[in-house]
Amino acid sequence: MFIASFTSDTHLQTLLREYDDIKKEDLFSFIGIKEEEIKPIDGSYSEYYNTKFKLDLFNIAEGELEDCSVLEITPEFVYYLLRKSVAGSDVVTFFFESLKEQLNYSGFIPHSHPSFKAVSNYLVFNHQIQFKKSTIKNDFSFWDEEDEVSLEVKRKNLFTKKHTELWSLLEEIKKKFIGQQRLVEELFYTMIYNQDLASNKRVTDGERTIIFLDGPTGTGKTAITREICRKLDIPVASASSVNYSSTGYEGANITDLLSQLYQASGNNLQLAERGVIILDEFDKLSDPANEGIKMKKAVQQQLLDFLGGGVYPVNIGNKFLKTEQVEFDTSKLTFILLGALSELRDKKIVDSDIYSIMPEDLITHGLERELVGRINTYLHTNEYTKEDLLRILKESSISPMLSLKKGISLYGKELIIDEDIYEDIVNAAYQLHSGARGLQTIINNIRTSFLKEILRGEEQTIYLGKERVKEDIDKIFVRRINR
Amino acid sequence: MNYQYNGHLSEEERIEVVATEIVKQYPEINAREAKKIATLEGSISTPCNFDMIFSRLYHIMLIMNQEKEIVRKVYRDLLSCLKESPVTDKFYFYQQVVIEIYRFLTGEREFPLLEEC
Repeated sequence: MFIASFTSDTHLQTLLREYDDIKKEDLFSFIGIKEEEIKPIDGSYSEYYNTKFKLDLFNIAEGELEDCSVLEITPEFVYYLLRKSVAGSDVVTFFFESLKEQLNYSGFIPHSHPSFKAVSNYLVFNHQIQFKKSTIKNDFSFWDEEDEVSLEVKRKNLFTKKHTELWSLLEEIKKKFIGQQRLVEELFYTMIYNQDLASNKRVTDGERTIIFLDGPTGTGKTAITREICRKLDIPVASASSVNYSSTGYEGANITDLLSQLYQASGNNLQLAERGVIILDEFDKLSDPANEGIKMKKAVQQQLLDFLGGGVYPVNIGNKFLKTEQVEFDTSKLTFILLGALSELRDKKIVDSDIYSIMPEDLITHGLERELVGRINTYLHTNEYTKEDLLRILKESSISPMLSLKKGISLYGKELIIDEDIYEDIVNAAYQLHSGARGLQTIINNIRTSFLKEILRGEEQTIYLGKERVKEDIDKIFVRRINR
Repeated sequence: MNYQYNGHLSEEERIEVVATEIVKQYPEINAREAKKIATLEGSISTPCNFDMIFSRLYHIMLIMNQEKEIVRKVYRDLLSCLKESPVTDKFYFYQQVVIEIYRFLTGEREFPLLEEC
């Protein structure tokens, strides 16, 4: 089973092909099993490989690599494990010696690595808050030397446990957002870096990461950001940049976002000051067609002050009762500026799908140079391919198809899905050019057309076949043409 | 009512969030019914617009149509939202649905399904 799963990895298969003289029997022999002892796996190999097999390897890895953190099981990492656990095997030695130049053990990072340090500090900081809280709550005593000592012990225990948890959180998020794994990883590390910085008493201007995240509509910019914040327990406040006017935001004040953060943190100022502010449709601030350009410039100037960090008075409490004011320090906040940049991206993609947004592009687009100068990290989501959309529909835990199925089951009925319809839905969603949102549009239409059967039908099973899907898809396209 | 962003939540979590929002606004509706209503709307993954408001209020009335007092209350909320909504290409469709719901409230017909409007 081990080898079968091992060799299901395409990367590894490529490597094996390059070394013709390595026989399958040799691979079996070094783990002391015979080919006839190998039993087939229930279900698909790739499913087994991605679940149980990887989990087993993570467990082995934890025992083997006390001073490292395993991020991902890569073929290189498997070699490393084999070499460690089956030292002396000719086959493994041969492999390792031949390939070591190419191997960088990309599946794990040593504890001395800067990312690891940031993660550790973040956890320790979080723990300190929790520990201080529990001390005060339990015996109303102040922080003393004895507490410091016990903290060290607790910190060590928690550190090991939480540390593994953090990586598994990252894995969970990556699984949820199919097709955007790279962005998830980059954003996750960046958030942790900022949280680590926020644990300092003072954060110098320019130290924080201010992120500009662009990508086509429906590729999960907001969803990924919110999910990472949720998993890391970071409070979030969001607003659309187009709703701002130079005199305020929707008739109110920019500090409303800070109030939102304060509420999202459960009225914990310290936590709120480490929160995340998402400004959606940031690129529209430079769109003269949307509002007068003078007004846009004034709003950009306001945002510039805000991004720079400062102390703002924020009203808290119920507006009907007595309100209080707190001093909110914005220098530790993380800002994530989102934008679709559709036109700019279309201009930049001429010969290939690869493009990069440079600060100069944003300035040419109409954003103020000083504002663009504040942004120090550029990330982007990828446009979904049809294969991605198919995987989202079939595998993601936020698949709208899964939602439809579960919804119908709440009404005591079962949805039977014809396998052929997935491709039709994906093709139609792809034509809508709205990313994963296209899938949602189609499933919403299907749900509406099923309402009668769900609520008033006698049948206990509802069948979703090609014809039905075609009808519902046609309705969407006819409506669009009519527009 | 809050129409909180829920595009990043799993189905169980999304249902929980939406059901809580419904019960908070209409305490007459019990949690079980609220969850059933929540399953009928898709996830909210863009800033809130009238389509979302309509979808939620319509589905509340659809599921609670045996209790006309609740339907009447939600209907009034829908009307005031519709009055303030921008006139889009769907506006006249929504208007038609509202007329049909009114006919339901006056006992002229059973609760309208969107397909029939």
